[in-house]
Amino acid sequence: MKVQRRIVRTCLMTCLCVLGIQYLTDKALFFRFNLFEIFITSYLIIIYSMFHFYNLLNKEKRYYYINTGILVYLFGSTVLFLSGNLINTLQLESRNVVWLLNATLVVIYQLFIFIEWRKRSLKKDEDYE
Amino acid sequence: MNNLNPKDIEIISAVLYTFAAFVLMIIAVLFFVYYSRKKIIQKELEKKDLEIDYQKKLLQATILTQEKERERIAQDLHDDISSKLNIIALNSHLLTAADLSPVEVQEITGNIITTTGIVLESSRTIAHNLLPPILDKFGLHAAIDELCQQSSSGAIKIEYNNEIKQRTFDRIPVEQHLHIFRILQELINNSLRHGKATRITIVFTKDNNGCYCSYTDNGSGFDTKNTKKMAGLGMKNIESRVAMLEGKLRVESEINKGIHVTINF
Repeated sequence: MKVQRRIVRTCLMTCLCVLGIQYLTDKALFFRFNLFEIFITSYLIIIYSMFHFYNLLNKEKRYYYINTGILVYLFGSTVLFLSGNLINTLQLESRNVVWLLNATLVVIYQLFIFIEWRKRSLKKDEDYE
Repeated sequence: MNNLNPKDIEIISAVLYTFAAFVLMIIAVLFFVYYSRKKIIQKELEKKDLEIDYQKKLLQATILTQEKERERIAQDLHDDISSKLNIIALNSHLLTAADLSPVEVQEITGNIITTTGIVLESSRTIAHNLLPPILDKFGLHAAIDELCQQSSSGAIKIEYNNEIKQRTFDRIPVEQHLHIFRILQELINNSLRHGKATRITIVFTKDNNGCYCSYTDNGSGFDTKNTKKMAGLGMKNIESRVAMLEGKLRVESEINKGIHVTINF
């Protein structure tokens, strides 16, 4: 647990610092897909959610569904965003499909959040009884 | 590299980043699988350790009860039999003495006869306590019935309900009957001694899943979360006997609300 906390903290700080420096030095990055930023943020969150899964082993499943949703969404969307610049430059006719896919992923993600909320509220009702 | 147009650079960087992302994600997943396996195995080991520990405690309890029982038997033999036999030996010795008047002889013989009777009676009681002969001769149903009748006295009422009588225990091997008897004996003993119960109900039922024994008293009960009481010698003894019956034991109790024990075997 302690090691995990330290990893999460140092990774977050370094990531934010690096990104801050990057954006300060190159303001043009604001107007296009910054592949490095997409990759590093998603990857860190994926690692964090895996930490959570690891901690949940043999334990009560707290925030299990939200975590699953985050993983599914990030695995999909990262690839989509990484190809964002490419799609924009290629000027493909059917590039809207890509963003439709992303939208579907978001809906799935929201669905997982909804499941989590349902489960938690049901559980709370039981606690009150 | 300089002669590449921006489009190519975009393509290459997108491909490279996607590739790197995939590889790193897979590495992360592999790490995750590796560590979770490790964690699960460790947890399983801990569970096994706990089980072994529990078994050890059970064994210790068994040995302790055995020693206690031996101590009790030794005490019974010493108090009830050895001392009386001593008296008999002394009296017999007196008989060998010369010049005894017939009155004295008669008195001594009378002494010997009464003491022998007492010894006989106590040896019978001791044997009876160790293994009730009724269990062998008339079966478990009669033995439980007798146990309840013997234990109830005055304000203490023990009710025994068993509709199908001895047939309840048909499917259980005869060697196991003693365990059931001992469990009930121990429970009644606990209820009367620690729980100060005045009403005890024992109900046996049978269905396709086996026999159910429900034991209820109105004694002081105890907190089942209090591990000290649950881990007492008596409880451990009951647990190990239920385990020998391959049954399931459930103890429900609250302070001042008596105790309810169900055994399924």
